[in-house]
Amino acid sequence: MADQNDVRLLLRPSEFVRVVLEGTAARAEPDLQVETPKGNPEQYSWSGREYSAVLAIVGHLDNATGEAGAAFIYQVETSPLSSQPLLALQRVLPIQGDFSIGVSQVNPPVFMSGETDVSSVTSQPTDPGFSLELSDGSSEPITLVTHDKEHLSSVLLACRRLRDLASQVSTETVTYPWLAPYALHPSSWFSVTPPRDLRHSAAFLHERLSPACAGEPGDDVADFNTIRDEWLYTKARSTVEKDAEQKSLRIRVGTFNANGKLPTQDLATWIGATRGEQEVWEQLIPPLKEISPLSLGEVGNKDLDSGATTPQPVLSPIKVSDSSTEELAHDPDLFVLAFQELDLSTEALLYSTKTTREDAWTAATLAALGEKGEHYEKLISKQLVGMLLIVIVRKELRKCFLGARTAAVGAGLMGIMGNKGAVAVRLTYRPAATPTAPSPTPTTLTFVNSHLAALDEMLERRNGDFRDISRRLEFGPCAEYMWGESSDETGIAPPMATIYASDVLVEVSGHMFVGLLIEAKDADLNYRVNLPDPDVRYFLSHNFAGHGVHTLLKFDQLKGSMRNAKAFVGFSEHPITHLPTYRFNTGLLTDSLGYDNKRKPAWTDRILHMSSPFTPARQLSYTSHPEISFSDHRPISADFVVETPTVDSMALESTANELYKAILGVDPEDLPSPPLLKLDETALDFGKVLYERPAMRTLHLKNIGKVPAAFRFYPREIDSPIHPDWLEISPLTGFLLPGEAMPLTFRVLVTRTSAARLNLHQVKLSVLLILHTALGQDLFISASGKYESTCFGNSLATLTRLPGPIRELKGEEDLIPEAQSRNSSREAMKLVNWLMSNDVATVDDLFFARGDEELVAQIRECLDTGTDFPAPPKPPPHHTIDPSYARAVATTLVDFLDSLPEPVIPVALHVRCAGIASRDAAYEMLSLFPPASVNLWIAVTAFLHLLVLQNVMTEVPLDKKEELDQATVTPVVSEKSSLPEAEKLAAIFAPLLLRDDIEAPAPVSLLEKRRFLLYFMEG
Amino acid sequence: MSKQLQFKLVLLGESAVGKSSLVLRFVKDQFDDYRESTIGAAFLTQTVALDDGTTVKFEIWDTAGQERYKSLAPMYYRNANCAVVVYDITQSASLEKARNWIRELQRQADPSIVIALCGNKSDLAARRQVTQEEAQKYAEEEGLMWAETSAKSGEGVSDIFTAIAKKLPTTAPPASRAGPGRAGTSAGRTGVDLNRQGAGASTEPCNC
Repeated sequence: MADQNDVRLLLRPSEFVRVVLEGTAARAEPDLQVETPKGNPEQYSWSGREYSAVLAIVGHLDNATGEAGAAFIYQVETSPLSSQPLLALQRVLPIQGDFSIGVSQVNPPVFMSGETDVSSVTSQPTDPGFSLELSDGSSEPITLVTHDKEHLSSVLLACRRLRDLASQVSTETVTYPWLAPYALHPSSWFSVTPPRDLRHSAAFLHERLSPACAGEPGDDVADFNTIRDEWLYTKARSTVEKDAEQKSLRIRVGTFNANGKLPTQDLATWIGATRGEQEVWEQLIPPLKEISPLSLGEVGNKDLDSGATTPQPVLSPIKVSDSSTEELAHDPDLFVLAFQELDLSTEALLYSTKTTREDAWTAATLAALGEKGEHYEKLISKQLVGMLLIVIVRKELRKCFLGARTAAVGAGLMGIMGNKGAVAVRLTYRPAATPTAPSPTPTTLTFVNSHLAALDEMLERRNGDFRDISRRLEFGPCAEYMWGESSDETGIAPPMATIYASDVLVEVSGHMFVGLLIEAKDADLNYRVNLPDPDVRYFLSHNFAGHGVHTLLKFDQLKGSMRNAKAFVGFSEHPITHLPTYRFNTGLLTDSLGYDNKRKPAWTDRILHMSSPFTPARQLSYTSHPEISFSDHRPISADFVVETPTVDSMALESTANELYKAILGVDPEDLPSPPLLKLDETALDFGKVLYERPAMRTLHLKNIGKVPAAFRFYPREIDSPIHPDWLEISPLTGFLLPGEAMPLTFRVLVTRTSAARLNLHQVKLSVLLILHTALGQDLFISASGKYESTCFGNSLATLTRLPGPIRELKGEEDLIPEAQSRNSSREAMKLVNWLMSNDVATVDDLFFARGDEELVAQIRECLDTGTDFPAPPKPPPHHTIDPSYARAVATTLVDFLDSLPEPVIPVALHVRCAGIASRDAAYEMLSLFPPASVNLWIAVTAFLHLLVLQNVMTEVPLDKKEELDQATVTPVVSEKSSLPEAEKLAAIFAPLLLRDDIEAPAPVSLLEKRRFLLYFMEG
Repeated sequence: MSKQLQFKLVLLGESAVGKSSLVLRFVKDQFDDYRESTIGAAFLTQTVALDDGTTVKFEIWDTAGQERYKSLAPMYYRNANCAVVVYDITQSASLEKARNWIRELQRQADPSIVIALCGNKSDLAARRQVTQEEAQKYAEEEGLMWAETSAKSGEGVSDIFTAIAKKLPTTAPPASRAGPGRAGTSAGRTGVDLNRQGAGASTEPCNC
């Protein structure tokens, strides 16, 4: 347990430890029932009142006044990583005039010890103990129970001596200024050290405030406090970290569903550390025979046996057998490896945390590090049935990892069995001390390995499991939370540390979170792709340099759940460029890529992260490792760099408390005068507002009152939005000290969604915004602009009824009657005609690369005003038209089609179109199209037909092999040759003309939609 | 035992008739010769003690009178127990505006709302454009309370608020009116939370 040295580390040079005594202390609040946490099979019992404690008698030497002393009481949290415990200061009692210490014998022990799950803090003693009551005469006394008779007498002696010393000095001089940095007083101390809930970042602050609207301000007192605390935290951290030295922590996160197999292949590429000699591994494992031909396809027919299977250039460079320290600098500091389905045997399905098979995998992992392995060691691991999370650390950094806690929850059978669920590790990382930061603020990293419900149709279950797991994964009460946010209303029970109470959060094997807390979730998330099976396989084998993967990912269930805030809210995922990691088979029942014929391929293995703005986690890579092929899943990996500022915790605390002092005594319930904010302007005029053209305005808000003021924007009605969708406000909440001012930024942007509504109905944009001062007045801000309507975002039916350019339309009543409407949209035809009448076939990347945005905007403006397109520049040699100009026209057409509220072929007809199996039947479908769509459809497909014909004339013959998808290899340089022109164009236009509904539970096959389009294009 | 009642009061009326001055006189017994126009809605509270020992706490929303903010007024008079519609006795047009407000309140506000018509700036009687008879007659027709006040001299100010307090229902404490939305001014205190829980439990009818 804690000794003098542990305490010594927390003191300043002028102070010294006289004696240290271990025991159990109770929080001062009496008679409070604290509930034990709800049933978690793994949960240890604890009570909120008692904690393992250390009493340290600390002396301070001052040349002028001599020695003075104080009693420091720390809460002790043990760490499974080292003998070094975490100490959190609870009370400081100066040993002077009114100080008293009383001792009595207790029998039997009165306190339950606050044990943690990973170690035995104190064994329940049977011998009688002693109860010490310490008091400084003014505040609540503190009681400590101890069995340490030996040090008890030293404590009593030291206290008596220091008290005698204090009494010799005149009371006026004994102010104990040296204690100021430690001066904890519950009501005047604000701590910024503990990691906060990652979901509570400032960006979402307004969502945490009470429901309120104009004239109904909600709970202003609570809101005032919430906004103030956020201000305090952000301000203190940014003040102190401004000049802080940044320390990068490199983390390699991997996840692998082993399908019950033992490691029979070199894991080196997955582990990704620089590898030692290849032979070392080869001696251990015979060359592999059972690699399927399919996995060969995945890696582009590279020779697997040569070991030249480095998957991605982003990975750490591999240098053989030269482990100089310089090279090591680029290696990860931390490996976080998550496994699922380590053991599929029946007994493993029960709730077991035995370390089955862990040894085999740990050994394989360390072996994969090769010679570098000697620089690493296992830090901690946690297993629950088939889920295992191993953390391996660089030896020299081990001492920086002060604390580690683990947690596990089952979410399988009956909601608790361990075949599904999650295991998690929470690490406390403290960078090495520097002269300016003798006691650096720790960063909390959390890694979660979760394994969610399988099967396509279980999406709701997976989302539910995730929410359940996030809630139930708790690491027990945390010492560092003592002054932090409290989890219950009484404010007394220490909050449980959840996975979100991190700086970085990574969720793996399905999900990985990185936060200011690094929380990694590695998980086999089992999320699937919502498209028919043939579609999935087609797009995988015709990836077109990532286009196929990109298309499929739009239908990915996990992305959808994140988009709709059903699960993993707040997490980010690096863009996926690798092929699905499930399900592979080795038998004959596989497709050309090695995927099992019976299971739709899917990205079931994912890494997601979340990080605090103060310790941003940057992801450098995200890739799969198809060459490791003995499981039905493929492992994936991600490299992260977490920037952790080396900030002295004492400096941070004192900065926060300097700020706190400025607002101390400001009781929002009893303000001496009302808060008063003033705006420099109350009206914003955005002038002309054009489609997709953002404009900004800034106002200045100043606190002209005598008290600090918290403000928030609020809506007119409880359920209405704070601002219209064409306007953004930043920030939506804030806090200002008297005399302080801040800018408020207003950004107007009309997108296709708002344009559809504004075009015909609203020429004048106008809104009244309400800025509410907590406990004070509301300020009104009027924002207005003149909206210049656009042909984008209108239905084709409306466009065919325009008497002239849309900009000249006075109102809806000026539309020509439906019976006399034009046979197609003038604007769309203008674009198609231009493309038809110019030689655009020679233009590279037409429709694939976006045109110059400024030119695109100019062309759009011409469509809206009915003027001629700007004159194209002189074409370069061998061209009849300037390619960039042609690309801009093409982009405008694509944007136009994409902006239609209803696609050219209405959604209701998509199933029928997809079912068409002949060219004739396809042409018969035209009679079902809406009148406004028919001619546009014919014009666009005719143009595409022409384009294909022109391209075929110049087409280079294709090497058949290149048709295979090569997404896992380097990006294809020339897209043009990888696929027939018609198919490529269909890939662009089918999703526009028959727009995909990515939210549909069972979307219409993209392939069949393309086939329908191709009947017209190939003619 | 003395009762404490709480009511939401809203001030309406044309710009520059003296709504904010009236409130300042009522709440702080002060007057400012040069007050800036209200761009928004100010929130204040003031308690009135009645003869029978009842105290009435007014939660006052003083709204901006400018025409461009008119669309926000309904947000502030919804759930209001009483409204003070102010006009300037030296501006006959301001009485017209007051009539519009009263029509709107009668149409859209809570039907039980108590409306007081208040002719302000009675210290400027020399420049009077609205006669007492005219205003009083209108108020009687519409069943409104009516008084003339001077925020500058203080004349009639506390009288009209006290009159309103007396007219408000004393039987059904409108605490629920304020609802959770008003927690910030009183119920935000920890102690009150507990009380409220207790009160809620006792009034809950038993369904057994």
